[in-house]
Amino acid sequence: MMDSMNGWHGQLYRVDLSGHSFKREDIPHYVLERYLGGRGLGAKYLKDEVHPSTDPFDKGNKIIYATGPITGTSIPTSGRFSVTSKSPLTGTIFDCNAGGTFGPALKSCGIDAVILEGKAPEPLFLKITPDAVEFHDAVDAWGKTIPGTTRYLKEHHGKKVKVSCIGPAGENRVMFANIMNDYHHALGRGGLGAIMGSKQLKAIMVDAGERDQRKQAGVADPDMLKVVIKEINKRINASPVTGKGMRLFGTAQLVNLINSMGLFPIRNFQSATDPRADNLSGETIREEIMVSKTACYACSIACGRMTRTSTGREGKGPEYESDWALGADCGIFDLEAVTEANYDCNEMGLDTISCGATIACAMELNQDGRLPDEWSEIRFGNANALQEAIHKIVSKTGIGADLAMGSRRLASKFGAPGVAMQVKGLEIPAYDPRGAFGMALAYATSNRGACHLRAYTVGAELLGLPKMFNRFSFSDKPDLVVTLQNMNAFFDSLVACKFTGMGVPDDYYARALSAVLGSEVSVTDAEIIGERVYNLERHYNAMIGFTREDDTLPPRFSEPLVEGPSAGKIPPLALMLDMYYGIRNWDVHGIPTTEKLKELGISAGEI
Amino acid sequence: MNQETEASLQSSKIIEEIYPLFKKFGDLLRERGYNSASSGNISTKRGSKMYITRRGSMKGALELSDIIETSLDNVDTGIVLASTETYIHRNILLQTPALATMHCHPPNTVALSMYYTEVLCQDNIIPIDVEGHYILKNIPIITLEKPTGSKEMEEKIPEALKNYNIMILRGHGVFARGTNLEEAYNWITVCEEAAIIIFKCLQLGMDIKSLQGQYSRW
Repeated sequence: MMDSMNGWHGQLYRVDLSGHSFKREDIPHYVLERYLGGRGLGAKYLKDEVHPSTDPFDKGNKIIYATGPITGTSIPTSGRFSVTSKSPLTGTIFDCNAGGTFGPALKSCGIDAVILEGKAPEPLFLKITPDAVEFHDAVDAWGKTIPGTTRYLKEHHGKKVKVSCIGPAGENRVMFANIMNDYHHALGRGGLGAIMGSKQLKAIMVDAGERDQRKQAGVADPDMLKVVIKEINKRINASPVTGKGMRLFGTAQLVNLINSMGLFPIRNFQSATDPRADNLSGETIREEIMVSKTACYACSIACGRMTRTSTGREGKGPEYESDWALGADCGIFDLEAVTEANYDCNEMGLDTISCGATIACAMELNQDGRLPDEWSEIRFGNANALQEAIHKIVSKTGIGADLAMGSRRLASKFGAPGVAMQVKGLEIPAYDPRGAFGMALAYATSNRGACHLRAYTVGAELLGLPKMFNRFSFSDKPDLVVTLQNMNAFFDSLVACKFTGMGVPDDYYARALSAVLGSEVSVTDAEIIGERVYNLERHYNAMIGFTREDDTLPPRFSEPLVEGPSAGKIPPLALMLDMYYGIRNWDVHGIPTTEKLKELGISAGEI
Repeated sequence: MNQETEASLQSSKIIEEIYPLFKKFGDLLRERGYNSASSGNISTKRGSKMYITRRGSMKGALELSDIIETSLDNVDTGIVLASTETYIHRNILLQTPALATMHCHPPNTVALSMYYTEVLCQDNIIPIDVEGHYILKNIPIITLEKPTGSKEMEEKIPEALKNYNIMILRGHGVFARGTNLEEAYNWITVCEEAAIIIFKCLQLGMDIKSLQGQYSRW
C-alpha cells in the first residue's frame, strides 16, 4: 500500500533512564505501514516489549511517546502526539493523546517516537534535540507544579523549549495523575503521570533548534494536500458543532444539550438532569469567566477557553468533562468553585474526570453512611470541600490516600464496589449510558476502561453526526461502536483530533494521509488500520487476563432512571455484547480469535 | 430458553427496529421516482447478519415480510428470498465501512452516466453545483459488460465504494453506502440533484467541463 518514507522519519530514540544513555534506532517500515504512529505505534512497541504481567510501576514498564505521519504538517488538528504505557489505574494497555505544540516539536527532531525504559536513580529531566538526548538533574524541581516546572525549564533552557511534565500528583504516584504539555494540555487519563513519577522522570523538553535546523518529514503530493486541507477547513467552518458551537462555547457547549436530553450525570449518576446545569454551561462560561479562546497547533476550531475567576486566578478551562466531573457529578453547580478546582487539577497534574468522579463516589459512600467521621465534609453539593480534597489527593494525606487510589479501589475498600462508576477501573465520563445505548456498549468494550473517546456514539445518537441514530435502539449499536472504535484508532494513530469528526467526514483524513504518503489509503484501508490497532490492544489485554467479565457496566445501569427524557430505559448490554463479539470475530469470552489476529497480521502471544 | 428460540426472538426484535426505517426510505425512493415498482433494494447490517429487501418486493409499499434476514459470512436459505443483488450488498457491507446500502435508478443520473462515458469520455461525474461539490466532489462511473446480476458486479461495485460513498453503474443505477440508511439516501438525493443541475446547464449550452473545478483527483 505505502512505499515511501514520506510522512515519517523512520527512527526513534530509545532512552535508558537507569543508565542515562540513549540510542537512535530504525523503525521497521512495515511497522509504520501497519500501525502508522501515535497510539498504533505505541501499542505495537508496548505489546512487543513489555511483558503483560509487568507491574505498571516496575522499571520493566515503558512509556512510549509517539507522533504520527501527519504530525507537523498543516493538516488541521495535526499537532497531536500520544503516549502509551501500562496503566496503574486500570492494569490495561493505555494511551492518551494531547494537542498543543509539543508533538510537532518532537517530530522536528527527526524522530517519530521516544521509548523510555528503566527507572532513573534520581529525579531527572530529559532534553531531546535533533542530535541527542540530554539528561539533566531535576532534584531542585521535584515538587514543582506543572506551570512551575514549565517556567523553570524555559528559564534554564530557553523560551523555545516545549515541555511535557508531571506535577506533584505524578511524583506521588496518584493513580490518576496525568502528564501535561505546553502548560495546559493534558495526557489526561489512566495515571500515565504516576508511571512517569515512578521512573523519577519529571519532564521531557524538546528543543528542535532554529527553523532551518528542524527536520521535516516529506510530503509526497503537496498540491493534492492543499486541496484536501482546503476542503477539511471548509467542513470545519461549515459544521455548526466545530464552526460555531466549539468556537463560541468550547466543549462545554454540550452541558445544556446533554442535560436537556436527560443523560447529564448528577451526584454520581444518581440522576441525569438538573435545572442548575446551566450554571456550568458553555454559555455561562462565556458570559462570566472566559477571557479568550485558544487553539492547538494547526487547529482552526479553537475549542480552548482561557478563563479568570473573581479571585483573579487564571487558567484554562473547564472543559465539558472537567466541568461535569468536578461540578454536577459532585452535586456542585458553582462555576467559580469548579473552575478553581479545575485549575488545581491542571497545576498539580491530575486527571479532572477521575478526580471529580472519585470524589463523587466518596460523596455517595458518605451519603450512605459508609465512611468514618474524617470524611464528613465530603458531601454532595459542598463546594468548599473540593479544593481541600484535591490537595489531600495530591499529597496522599488523610482521606487523600484513599481517594488517590481511584473510585474502584475506594468503593471496594468501604464495602460498596457498585458505587464506583467505572469500567476496568477507569471512571465513566459525562454521559449516562442509559440515555444513549451506544455509549453503554462503548464504555463496556473500551480497551482502556470507560472512555467516551474510543467510540463517541454521542455524535450519532445525540448530535446527528453524520446522521441521527435512535439513541434507544440496540440493534444498530454494535456495528456503530465497532466502526467508530476502528476509525478512532486510526485517528489516534495519525495523530489527529477527534473533534474534527464532528464536521469532517472520515475519508477526508484518509485522503490527506494519501497525499502525505504518496500512495492511496482509502477510508476502508484506514478502518483496517484502526481495526488492527484495536485488536492488538485487545490481544494484549487478554494476555494480561481481561475477559468478557471486564466488559461490563456498574450495576446502577441495570436500573432505569426515574425521571427525565431517558427515564425507564435500560441498555440491553448482554445482547449488544454478543453481537459486538460476533462482528469483531472474537470468541464468547471477548478474546480475538487466532484467525482474526492472523488476518490482521498480528503475531499472537500467549494467553 | 434454547439457543434457537433465543436467536429467533433476537431476529424479531431487530426486524421490529429495522422495518420502520426500510418502510420510510422505500416510500421516499418511490416518491422521488428513483425506482420502478419493484426495482432497487435496501439493506443494512446488524452484527453478523444482513437484512435486505425481498426479491421483487415493492419498495414503495414494503411490508414486514419483505425484510429478509441472511447471514453476512455464511450461505443460508435466506438468499433464496432476498434481492437478486444480495451478494453485491453483502460485499459492500463486508468490504467497506458501510453499515447500510441502498440501490436505485435515479433517471437523470443514469442518463448522464451514458452521456459522460460516451460523449465526454469521462468515467466520473464531477458535480458543478455548490452542494454537489461540497458533499460528493467526484462520483465514479463503472461500465460493465453484464450490468445486472453478474459476478463482475459483485466485485467491481464494492471496490468502487471503498473510497466513495456513492457510485454509478453505467446505464443502470447507483449504489450508495452509509453509516445508516439516512446517510446512504442522502448521497443518492445529492447525486441526482447534481445530475439535474448538469442537465439544465447542458440545456443552457454551458461548458460543464470548465465548471468541474479541481475534484478530478478526489
